[in-house]
Amino acid sequence: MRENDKILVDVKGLTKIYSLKRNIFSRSREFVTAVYDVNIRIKNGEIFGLVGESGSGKTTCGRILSRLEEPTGGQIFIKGVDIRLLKGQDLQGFRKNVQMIFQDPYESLNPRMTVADTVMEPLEVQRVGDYEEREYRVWKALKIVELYPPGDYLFRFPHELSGGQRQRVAVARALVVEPDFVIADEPVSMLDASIRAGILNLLLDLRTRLGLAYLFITHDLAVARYMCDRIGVIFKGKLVELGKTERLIGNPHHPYTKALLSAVPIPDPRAERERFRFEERELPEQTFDRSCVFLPRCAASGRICRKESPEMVEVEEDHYSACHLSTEM
Amino acid sequence: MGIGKMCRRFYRLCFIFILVPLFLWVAITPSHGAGIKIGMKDEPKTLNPFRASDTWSRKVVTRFFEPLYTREPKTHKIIPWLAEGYPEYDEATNTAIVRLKRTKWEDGSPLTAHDVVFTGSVIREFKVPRYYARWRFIKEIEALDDYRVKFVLERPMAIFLPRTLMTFIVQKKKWEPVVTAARKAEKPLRCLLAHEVKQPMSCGAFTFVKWARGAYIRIERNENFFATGMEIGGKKVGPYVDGVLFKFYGSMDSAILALKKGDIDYYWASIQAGYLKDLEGDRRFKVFKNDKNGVYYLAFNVRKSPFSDKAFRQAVAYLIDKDFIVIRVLQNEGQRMDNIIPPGNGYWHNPDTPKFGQGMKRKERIKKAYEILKAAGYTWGKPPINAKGKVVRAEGLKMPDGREVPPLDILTPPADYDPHRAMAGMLVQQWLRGVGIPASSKPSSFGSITQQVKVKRKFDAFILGWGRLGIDPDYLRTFFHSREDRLYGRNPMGYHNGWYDNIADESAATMDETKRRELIFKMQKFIVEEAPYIPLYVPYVVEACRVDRFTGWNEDLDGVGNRWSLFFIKPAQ
Amino acid sequence: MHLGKFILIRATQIVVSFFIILTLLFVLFRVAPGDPASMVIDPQMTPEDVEVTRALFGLDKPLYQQYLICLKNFVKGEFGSSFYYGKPVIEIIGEKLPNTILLFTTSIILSALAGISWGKVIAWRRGSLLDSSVTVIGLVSHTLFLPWIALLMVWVFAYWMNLFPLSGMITPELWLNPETGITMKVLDVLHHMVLPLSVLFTIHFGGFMLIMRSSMMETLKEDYIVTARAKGLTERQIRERHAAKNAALPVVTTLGLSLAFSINGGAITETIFSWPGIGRELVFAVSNNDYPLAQIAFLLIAALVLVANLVVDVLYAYLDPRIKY
Ligand SMILES: Nc1ncnc2c1ncn2[C@@H]1O[C@H](COP(=O)(O)OP(=O)(O)O)[C@@H](O)[C@H]1O
Ligand SMILES: [Mg+2]
Repeated sequence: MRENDKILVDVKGLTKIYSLKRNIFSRSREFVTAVYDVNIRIKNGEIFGLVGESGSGKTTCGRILSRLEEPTGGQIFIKGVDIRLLKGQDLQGFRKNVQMIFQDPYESLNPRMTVADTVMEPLEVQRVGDYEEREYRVWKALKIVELYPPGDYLFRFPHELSGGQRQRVAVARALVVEPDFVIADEPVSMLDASIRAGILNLLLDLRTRLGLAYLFITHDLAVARYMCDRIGVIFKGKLVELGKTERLIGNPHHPYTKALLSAVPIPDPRAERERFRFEERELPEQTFDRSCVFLPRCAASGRICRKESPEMVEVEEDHYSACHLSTEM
Repeated sequence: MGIGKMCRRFYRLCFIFILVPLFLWVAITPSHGAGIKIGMKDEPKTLNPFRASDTWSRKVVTRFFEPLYTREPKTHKIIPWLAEGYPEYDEATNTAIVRLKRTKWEDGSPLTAHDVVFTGSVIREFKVPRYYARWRFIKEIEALDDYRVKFVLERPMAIFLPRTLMTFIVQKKKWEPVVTAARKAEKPLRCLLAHEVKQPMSCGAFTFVKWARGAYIRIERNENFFATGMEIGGKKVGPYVDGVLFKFYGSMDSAILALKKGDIDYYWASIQAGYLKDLEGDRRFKVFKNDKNGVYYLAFNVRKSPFSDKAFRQAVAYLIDKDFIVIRVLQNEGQRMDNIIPPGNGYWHNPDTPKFGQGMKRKERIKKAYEILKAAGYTWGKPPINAKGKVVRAEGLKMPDGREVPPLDILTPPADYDPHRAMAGMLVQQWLRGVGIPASSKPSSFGSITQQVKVKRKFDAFILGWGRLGIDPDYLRTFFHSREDRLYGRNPMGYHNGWYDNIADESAATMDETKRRELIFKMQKFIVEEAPYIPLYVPYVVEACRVDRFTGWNEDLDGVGNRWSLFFIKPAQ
Repeated sequence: MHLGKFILIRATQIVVSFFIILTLLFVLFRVAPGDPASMVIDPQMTPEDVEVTRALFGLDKPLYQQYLICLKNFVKGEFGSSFYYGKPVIEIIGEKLPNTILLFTTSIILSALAGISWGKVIAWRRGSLLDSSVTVIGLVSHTLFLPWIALLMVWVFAYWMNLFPLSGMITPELWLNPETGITMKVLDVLHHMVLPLSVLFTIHFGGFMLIMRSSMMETLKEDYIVTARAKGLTERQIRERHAAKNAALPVVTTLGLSLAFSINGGAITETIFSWPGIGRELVFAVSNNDYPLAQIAFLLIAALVLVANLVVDVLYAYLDPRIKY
């Protein structure tokens, strides 16, 4: 294996179940399965896309991977270390290696902190160098994210920046500690279309320059296609299809992927595909153990779909799909 | 900002804040000095005797300034005080000579005739409110020598001795510069009254020590007090206490707790019935109940009908069950009044005045009122007594001239100011409606009542009270004299009666006490019969004193809080 | 620059509002029936005495003249004399105001500090037993009937347990003793302050805490809190540096106005504890129609509230970089 092919992140059977109290007095709880049995491997320098509609558990995955949340089950190895066991010094080291970029740059920056404070804070927390060293690093990070000249931005507050600039600050904040792995949770979904490309290109550029690996979370297959080496499609917390970008998009196996693709604006009008029709039938939710998650929406379900939850099956090389019927299609 | 640090510091602070005082109370539990501690409801507003008109200022100020004559406890007989013997009055020239005792101010300088002349002149020159009326008829005032003052009166005046010569005396030396400065001011009187007395020059039983604003006033025994050792009413004048500490308690609740805790020995105000049970069971205390020198009354606007009609007023008087008011409203902490001069003022009170409806039952009252009104020409659509002699709901009361009796408002203070009067108003309303008089009680703010009654003089009836009437009965004249029927006058009812005016004027000019008493008796009988006022009740003054700490309290009209108590009380063994 | 201009504009507004309030107060008090001279019921007061007294107060002049005189004096910085005390109003206020500030302003500051620190802690642990119980306590204490709790505390702690003085601000016996040192005197005042302060604290604490709690809850939902966590900050750092700082902003407004209003004291508290403050004086002045005193006291409060508003706005701009004027 080449250095680049080394596994950086190995997620095994990741499951997250939220239990909610109905109200402060009741003892009964409600359970929400946000993520169920997700297996992902991300190599060094790879951009892995996690695609799914809103509420499908993408953010939850990202948050668990950055240890903002504890998983209910499963294991996560980053650089071979089970991150669930990290504590104290090791956790701090982990925070240095793994950074997250959030969806909404309007919200993710503390309104009362200047750019300099925001970007410098992780360095303070990590106790990186002395003040001069930190200043230098902040300066460098701002330059990398193309906030130039950095001096113009250092003492601005978030509200004095445009959305794109803010997201660049967020990226700078993530990069300043020189991580290996960045989780980018829909980094452009809140931005104007006109500035999206800039940020995406920046992220791609950073991968090349710094050799970063990304978990790139998005609901937009077109963006994923542009960004990612491999894509995993997630539906209601379950991974339903996974494969190299071009293959997955060129030859989708899972009906949900197909549905997503049909919703993607099609660049070539002649290549019009049959639009996939959703049909929501009334079926009880949370039936993971018994039936296919996609069943309520699936137009082509068979009897087996109702009885058994499909496993991920390799449909072609490095391309997996979890659908009983995908082989027949 | 370091909110966290601030909070931790804050908790530490709170801790200290709570703990230190906890230990402190052991260290500073107040020692019981030989002085007496008196609680008052409010702080005095001033120590300037010319200005001190509120109860609380007077309670303190009168400890320092003494008059020429005063009244003996209980009998209320006028006795020489700063003066020596009674004034020598020459009827021919209306001249009185008053001799002074050899007394001293607290600074050791003698109190002389010049001080007396000075005080009188200041009051006359500046027209000091409340005092000017009793000095304006003095034509001349002159010091014959250091200890003799000559007064020349315009005419004989009954109030000369009991009012003029009972005015406090101030020290000329101390006040001369103040008065000189006031004369030059734009508003001389205002300047005089605004003068802040920081250290009153006392000739009384106590001298001023300290006034810590908002907290206390401390006064101490005057070693040079002229009356110490004098025998008055069979008792030797002290004072026997080293001093008095006045403290202020905003609410009755805290005052009573302070009494029980021992923070004060006496609360100088009447205690509400609700608090008494607690104190009466406590052996440290004695509860005193005495007559108040005042009267609460229902008054009518006699300028217009139907209240212009004496028969109508008397009918109303018959309808009012004063005993019911005393029992139910005052809860027996007072007595019914059938006269303007309270019975506690024994010398001047005429016990033989009409007592409308005393002892009558409800039905008898209605019958009596019905008869009176019928006889006076009033008619009903439906009379209160039907053909079978039964009391029924009356309707359509018409006056002798055939007009309907208009709706009549009885103004009373609001219930939160004085629940007794407001309740009495409600009862009167119900009783009057019993014979078909369309009365309604209207609790109104004090300002609104005085505006309607004293300024505009447009009203039907009101319930108010007089307190601090004083012993001298001259007020009987002013309350009903036609001269007082004017803006701000004391006869807002608009009562006019020539006979009464004459006899009242005569009483004011009668200096012989016995003769004057006869006139005053006649006036009482007449005016109660006429009923421009219907006296209702007078509450008791109920007080509690620590008899285990001090004995010898002087019970009197208006309670134990009087100068004699402070002269007589002795620390208990 | 911008802020300077803003302050200037607001200051002018304040001055204008101030004179409007002055006029309103003037009218309000004179419209109320009864004047201080004729309200006195004293058998010794002759009609002439009443006239003299009215002239003394300047009440004999027509209303518009009284108003002009009032305005003129005001501009000259003369605030007149109390009808009741005969003393300059400023003197009376100067005498009572420090006492009020000592008790009421302190109580506001203490309860705000405690409210903020508790509010943020329980918001942090939202849903926990601590949160529910402290919230309930806050709600209850916030709605307590003041005279009731005050009397109860006096009865229990001052009368029954004899730990604190019943009322007042100082112990006369102690202050009269020439040997008493300044520390003792200070401690004595503190000792007297404990009970009223506790009562006021109980009443105000809940409000601040609940505001802080809800504000903090809102803040905790913000993404920058997650960001902060992702940065590796400790929970405490997140709570203090990122959450509490932002959440405290709305409390600042409340606090500013509460501080301004605190100087009118509280007639009830002052009455029950015989605290020589301005609140009782104010009620007394209003019911006695002591116009000059009531007018100035109200104006003082109005002025403070107006200024406090300005200060809060400026402070807000300072604390919250998003706000610009
Ligand atoms: N803190 C939480 N408590 C309870 N439920 C949650 C929580 N966070 C997310 N969820 C639920 O988990 C599911 C997945 O949410 P999320 O990961 O935010 O989806 P996505 O990012 O794909 O839109 C949703 O149904 C959401 O309601
Ligand atoms: Mg999401």
